[in-house]
Amino acid sequence: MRALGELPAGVQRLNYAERGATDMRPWLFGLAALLFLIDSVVSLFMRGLFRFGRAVAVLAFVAMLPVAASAQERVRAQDSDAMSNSLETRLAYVISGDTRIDDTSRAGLAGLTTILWRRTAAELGQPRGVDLARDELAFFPLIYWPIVGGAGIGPDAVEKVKGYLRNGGTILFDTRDQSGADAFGFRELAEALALPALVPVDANHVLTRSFYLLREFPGRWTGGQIWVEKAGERVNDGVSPVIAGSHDWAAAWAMDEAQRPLFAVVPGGEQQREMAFRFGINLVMYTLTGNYKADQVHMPAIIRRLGQ
Amino acid sequence: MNGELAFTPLLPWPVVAAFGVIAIGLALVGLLRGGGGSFWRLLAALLITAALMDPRLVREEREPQSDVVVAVVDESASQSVGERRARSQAALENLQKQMERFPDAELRVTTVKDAVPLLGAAGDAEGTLMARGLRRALGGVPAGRLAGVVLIGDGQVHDVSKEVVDEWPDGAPVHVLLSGDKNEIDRRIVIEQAPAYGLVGKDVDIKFRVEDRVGTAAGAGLGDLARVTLREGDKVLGVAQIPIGQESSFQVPLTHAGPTVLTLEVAPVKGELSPVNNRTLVTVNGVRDRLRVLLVSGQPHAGERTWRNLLKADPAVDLVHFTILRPPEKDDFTPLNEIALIAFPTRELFELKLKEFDLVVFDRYVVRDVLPPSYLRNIDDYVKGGGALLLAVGPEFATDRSLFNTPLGRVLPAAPTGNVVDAGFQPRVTETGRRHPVTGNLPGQGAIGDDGKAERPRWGRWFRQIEAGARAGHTLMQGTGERPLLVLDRYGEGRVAAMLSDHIWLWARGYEGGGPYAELLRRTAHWLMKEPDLEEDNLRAEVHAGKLVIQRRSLAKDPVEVTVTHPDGSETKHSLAEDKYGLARLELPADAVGLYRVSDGRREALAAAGTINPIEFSDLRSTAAVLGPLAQRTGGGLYWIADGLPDIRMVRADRDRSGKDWIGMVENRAYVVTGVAQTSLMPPVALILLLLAMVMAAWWREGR
Repeated sequence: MRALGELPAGVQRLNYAERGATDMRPWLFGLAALLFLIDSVVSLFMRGLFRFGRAVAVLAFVAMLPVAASAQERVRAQDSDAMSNSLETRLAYVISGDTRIDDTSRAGLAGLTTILWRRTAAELGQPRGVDLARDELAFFPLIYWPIVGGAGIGPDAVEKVKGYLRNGGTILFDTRDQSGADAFGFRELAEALALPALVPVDANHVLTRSFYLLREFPGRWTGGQIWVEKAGERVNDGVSPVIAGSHDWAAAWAMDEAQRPLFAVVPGGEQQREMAFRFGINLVMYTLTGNYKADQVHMPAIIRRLGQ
Repeated sequence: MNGELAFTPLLPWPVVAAFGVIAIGLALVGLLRGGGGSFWRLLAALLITAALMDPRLVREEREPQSDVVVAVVDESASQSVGERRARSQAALENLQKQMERFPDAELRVTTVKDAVPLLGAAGDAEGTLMARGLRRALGGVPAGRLAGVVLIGDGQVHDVSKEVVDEWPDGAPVHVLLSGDKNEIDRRIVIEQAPAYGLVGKDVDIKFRVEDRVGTAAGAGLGDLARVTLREGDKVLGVAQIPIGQESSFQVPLTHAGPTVLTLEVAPVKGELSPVNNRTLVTVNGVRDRLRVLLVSGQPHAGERTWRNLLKADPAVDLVHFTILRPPEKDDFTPLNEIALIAFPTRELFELKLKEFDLVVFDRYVVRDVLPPSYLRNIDDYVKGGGALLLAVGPEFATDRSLFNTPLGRVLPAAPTGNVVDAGFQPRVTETGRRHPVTGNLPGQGAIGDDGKAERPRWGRWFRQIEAGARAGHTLMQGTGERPLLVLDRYGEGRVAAMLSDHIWLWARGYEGGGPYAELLRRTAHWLMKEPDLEEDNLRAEVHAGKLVIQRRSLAKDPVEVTVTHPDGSETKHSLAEDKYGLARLELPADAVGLYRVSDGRREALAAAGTINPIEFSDLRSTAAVLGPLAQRTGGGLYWIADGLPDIRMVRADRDRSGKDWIGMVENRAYVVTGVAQTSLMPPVALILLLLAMVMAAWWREGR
C-alpha cells in the first residue's frame, strides 16, 4: 500500500457523504446490458454457432503475433551465439562496462589464445565478452572476471554464475590491485556469489605443473597470493571452480594486432611476461584437462595393478 | 447309568443346614415329647429343607461320535518319479472305498507339498515336511476320536527324526503306504562348493561330486566314472569324466559383471529313477574389482573434462588418461626442465597391457605421429578378443586425420561421409533405441504415448554432428535429419560404440537444462563391458520369493510365447505382454523345488527354486527307513503299494493294530453330550400344597 501522492490536475478529492437517496439507474442499466450480452452468447451457443475454445484461441493468437515474432528473433540470435561458442572452445571475460578494462580483457585473452595456438594442442577460438545478465555461460571452460569497483550484480546473474560454477565452469577472479588490499570489493562479490572458502595455492597444486613447471603466477604485477577452493579429488575431477588473485593478468597477456605487448610488466619485464603466459597456459590446461597431470602420481600403481 | 441327582441350594449351604438341623431338631423334640402334629411338622421341616436344597434329576443326552482316520498324501516333487503318483492315487482311492464300509468312521485327507524356503532365509525347513502336515491335520481332530493315520508317499520325509518318533503321542496307529519300488537306483550331482561372487576376469572354482545310490547302500558305483557337462546358457564350457563319489572341480572364468548362470549335468545311469537331480544350477555374481579405463583424448577441448569428471568421480575406476597437450610439431624451445613432461608409457599401455583394460575410450582423437598404426591394430585385436571400445568423435573424424583411416577403421560401426553438420538439434532416441536397455528409458527422453510416438525430449540441444553412415550394429540415437548419433555394435568377441558428436558436454554443463549424459555414458560403457542387465536381446528367468519371473528383451517386435518346463517335467505355455520399452515380463507362481526351464524357441533360460542341493532331491529312492520306526512305535504297519494294498479293519484299542495284509483303525466309541435335561424333584405348586396340607394338618393336629 502506498499513500496517495500528488494528484494530477483535474482530479478532485471528495469525502464520502451520505445521501438521502441512492440512484439505482446505473446498476439497473448495467445489469440489463450484461443480461443482454449473456443472452446473446447463450443464443449463439444454443444454435451451435459459437465454440468457446476456438474463439479464445483465435483472439489470443492474434494478440500474441508480435510477441512471438520478437521472441523468435531473440531465439535465432541466441542460437547463433550458442553455435559459435559451442563449436569452438573459447575463453570468455566478464564485460565490466568500463571500455578500457573490457578492451584489456579482450586483448589479454586474445594474446593468451595466440600463445596457446603457438605452443600447445589447445587451439581455441577468439575470446568472447559475456554479459552476466544476458549471455549463456555454459559454453566457456574459463571466464576471466576483472573486478571493477562499484559494479553490482543482479540476483539473476548471481544464480547464473552459481549454476556455471556448479556445472564444471571455472572463473578466474582478478582484483588487478597487486597489493591484495581488495580495493575494488572482491570480498563483497564473493559473498554475493556465496563462493566457498579459498586457500592459497600450495607448491604441489596442479596449477604449478599442468603444462609448465611454475613456482609463482605473475601477471602485470607479481608477489601476491593465488587462491583456490580446497576441493576433494572425486568432485569435478578435483578442479577448483574458483581461482582468485590480484596480478592483472589480462594486461600482461594483452597484445595488439602486430602481437606487440600493450602494457609494461613490472618489476620483471619480459621475463615476467613469459612467466605470465606460462601461468595462462597452465590455467587453460587446468580448466580443459583437469587434474590430468596429477594422475601421473597414481600411474605407476595403476600399471602395477594392470600387470596382475 | 445315565441320570444323576444334583442339588442346587436356594440359600447358602450353612443356612440350609442350620435351618434343617434346627427345624428337624425341634420337630424331633416335639415328636419325642409327643406333641400333637409333630410328625407332620417333621415332615414339613424335612420337606422345607429338601426344597431349600432343590434337588434335581440331571439327565445327559449323548450322541455317539464317528472315528476319524487321517490320510496324508505326499505330493512333493520326488513323488513325480516313475509310478509313484499313480500308485499313491490308487492307494488313496482304495482307502476311501474301504472306509465306506464303516459308516461310523470318517476319512480326512490332507496333502503335503514341498516346503520351499524363501530366498535368503537360510536354515528354513525344506523338503517333504510330512510330520508338519500331519500335525496340522491332527489339530482339527477332537481328542479321543482319532482312529488311525495313513501316510501315503515315497517315504522320503525330512522332518521325522528319532526324537520325533520317540515323542509321538500314544494312541492311534500310524500306517505307511510306500509308493516307490524296493531297490531303486539313483544318481545325482551334488555341489560341494560354489562361490556366490567372483571377480570378473578371474576364475571361480566350482567343486562338485557325483553320487550313486543303489538299493540301500549309498555310493556303491555303477561303473566308476560319470560324464559331467558344464554349460553357461547353451554354451558348453567343459566336459569331464569324474570318478563317482569323489570331489572334482571346474574352473570357470567370469567374463562379465552380474549373474553368470552355470548348469552342471551328469549323464544319467541306466535304470535310474529320474534325471531331475542329475542337473543343478549355480549362479555366480561377477563383480568387477576395479574398472580399468584407458581414455585417449586427441586434443584439449571443452568436453574433455566431462569424461574425466565422470570417471574420476567413481573410486572403483582406475583411469589411465592419455592426452596430447603439445603436438610434436609445436615447440617453443622452453628448456625441458621447465616443462612438466610426462614420459607416457605408450608401449606398455598400448602393447603389453592393453588386454588388461575393461574399457578403452577415444575422445576426439586426431591421428598424429603419437600413436603408431601398430598400436591401433592392437586395439583392433583387443576388441576382437572381447574388449570394449567407445569412440566419441569430433569434426576431425570427417577429415583425413580421421581414426577411420587407420587400422581401427575396420572396427568402427559407422563410416564418415566427410560432412560435419553444424546445427542445433535435440538428440532423439530411435525406435530401436527405445527397445534397447541402454537408451530405452533414458530419463528425460519424453514419454511414449499410446500411439507409440515419443514426446519431445526434455533435454538440451547439441550443435554439431559428424555425418556418418551406420555400417553395422544398431543405431540407438539420432540427431539432425535422422543421421545416426549413437551406434552400438558387436565386433568379434568384443563390442564397440560410436558417438558421432563431441557435444555431449553441453548436457554436462547444463546448457538448456542439460541432459542425462552420465546415465547415457555409464550405460553405454557397461553395455560394452557386457553387463547382463543391459543386454538388448535376452531371455532371463529367476525365482524370487516363490515366484518365477521371466523377462525377455528383443529389438525385434515379435510375439513372445514362452514354454516353461516345470521341475516335475510338465510344460506350460504362456504369452508375454510387452511394455513400451520392449520388455516382456511375466510372473508365475513357483511352488515346486528344482529347475525351471524357460524357452522362447530361440533361447533357453534356467532358474532354480530352492537351494543349490535341494533336500527334496538328495535321495529319490523310496525308503522304509524313515517312517518305519514311527509305524512300529504306534503299532501301525508299513506296506509297499506295489505289493498290494492292505485291508482295513476296525479294532478294539487293546488289540493288534496291524497284520500282514491288513491295517487296523481303533474304535474309540466316543460320544458327545448334546444336552442336559434337569427335572426338578420338587415341583413348586405341589410343594406348596403339600406344605400347606402338612402345616394345616399340623395345625389341625395341634389345635385338637
